[in-house]
Amino acid sequence: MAGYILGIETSCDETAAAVVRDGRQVLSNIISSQAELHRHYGGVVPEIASRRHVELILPVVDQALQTAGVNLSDLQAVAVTAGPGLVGALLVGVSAAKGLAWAAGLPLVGVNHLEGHIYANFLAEEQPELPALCLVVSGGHTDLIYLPEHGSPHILGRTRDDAAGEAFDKGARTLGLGYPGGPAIDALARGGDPAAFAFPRARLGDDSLDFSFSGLKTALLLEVEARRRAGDLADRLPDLAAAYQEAIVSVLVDKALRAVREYQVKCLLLAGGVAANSALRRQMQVAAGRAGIPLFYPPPVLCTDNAAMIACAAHYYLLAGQVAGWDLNAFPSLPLGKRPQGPSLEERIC
Amino acid sequence: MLVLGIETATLVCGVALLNDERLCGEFAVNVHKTHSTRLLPLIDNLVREAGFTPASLDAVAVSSGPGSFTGLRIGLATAKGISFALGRPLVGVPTLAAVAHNLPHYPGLICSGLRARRGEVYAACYRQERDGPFLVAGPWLAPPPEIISQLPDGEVVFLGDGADLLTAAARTQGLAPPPVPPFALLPRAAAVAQLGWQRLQSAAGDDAFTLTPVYLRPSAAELKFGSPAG
Ligand SMILES: [Zn+2]
Repeated sequence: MAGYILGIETSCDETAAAVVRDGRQVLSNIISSQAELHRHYGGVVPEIASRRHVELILPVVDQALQTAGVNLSDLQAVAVTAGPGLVGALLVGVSAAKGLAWAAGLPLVGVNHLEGHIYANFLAEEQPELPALCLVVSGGHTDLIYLPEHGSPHILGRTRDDAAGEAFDKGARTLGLGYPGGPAIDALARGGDPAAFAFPRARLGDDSLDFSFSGLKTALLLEVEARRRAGDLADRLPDLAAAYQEAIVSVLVDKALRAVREYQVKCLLLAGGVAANSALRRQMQVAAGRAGIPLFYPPPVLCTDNAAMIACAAHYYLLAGQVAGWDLNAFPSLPLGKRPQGPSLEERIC
Repeated sequence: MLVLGIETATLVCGVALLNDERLCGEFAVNVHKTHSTRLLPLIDNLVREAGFTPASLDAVAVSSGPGSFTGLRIGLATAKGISFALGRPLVGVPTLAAVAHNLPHYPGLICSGLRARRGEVYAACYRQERDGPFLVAGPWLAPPPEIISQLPDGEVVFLGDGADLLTAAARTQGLAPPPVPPFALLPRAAAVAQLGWQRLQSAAGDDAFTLTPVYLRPSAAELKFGSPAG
């Protein structure tokens, strides 16, 4: 029997549902973004996100099933993001998934959103080989993850202050660019010289695989002020963008490559919204080539939040026999490496 | 017609199974715990204990608010999932009406009140008719004294988890509302199931795709910045 899994994702401001076959073939990937709605408030408003999820959940699920051309009765399981994320938003997806799975007589799988991002790389014909190293970079995360085998990811390094995506957003704001900052800086940097300014790279000790981007933000602010006084700010914007982006990307590449050597992995994976950054992809490609291992990164639509990655991760949960109970809860600060199955991370009530 | 009733608008997590005029079973827990871990285990246990399977359900009735925002969404999202998977009708039952339904045949006015944080109460006033509670005033979202001052004349009994607040406010205004036993005070899934079933006798269910909770209160961000449309 073919393994069709319905994935549901409502951890932040995207209501998403997808059908994935055998953990690798995406049959549908529906994403209803609330970004426009939240822009009005200058950021994601949890209560408004939760209200929207309740309105969108069934239309999105229905569209995912119809686009895939499958019925609930064809499914192997219903998978849902159980954390981390906004608790009220997560609860809408978790509750709807439970209702669907219970009524359709299907197993329920509670997926770790971060693990989902990693598994976006497995939604392809060509499968990454383990052990692998994965860099998850987004507005909320900058994590260097070692994946020795399915189901046991651990974090080797993470950001101590801003996430890489946040650094891009804040840099874009300083440069007077739009939101989200990553694509805006990426585009502007194409016409600039990355060596034009020497922005700082936080070292954090020789053996640390952690990141820090808060100093960089300050350095950019000072340079922008200096250029404004010199009267050439407008002309130097592309150089500033290129050098700023270079400072972020080079640290990400350096640390990822150091981890690759240290852990003897067979491949390198990128995930999360910032994985769509062209400079990051290009430089990581060069570095991976030098290390003699393949680099994987998902197409942009699978880099940002989506439900296909959740359905894909669930495929590996099922292979490990990890099914959730009807008492599955939502976990706003679920750590990587934890797979939620019940009311708490340690126990089940029935 | 086998109707599953779901009630999660307050701290009460309640489920009931109504087979036409026969109440097959009802579970309720009234504690400070999240509904998300309890609701589906209660539904699953109830349906099985009553000798049915999920596919036996003919309709789902859910308490649609006002009440706790998160509680309402857990109930509604679960109900939507079940209704969609089974292809069966979904009915949203106003929570304040369901609470009033706890005291059928009461000759006076029934004021259902639910706690709404910040010292306010969601409330509405009903008169019992042959086929259930009939809305005569409200719904309101206001501090208890303000609600008391808007009540129609006549004897009033207060129900709901805000009944104590309303009763205290009523006393200061010289009223003497009768006491209510605990089993009739709180929202019950059996009442939700019964009102849902009753509506399905003469009308269609709600659109499961678009049904939303009745919040009565805009989100804090909307109050501060206005909604994008307005
Ligand atoms: Zn994400």
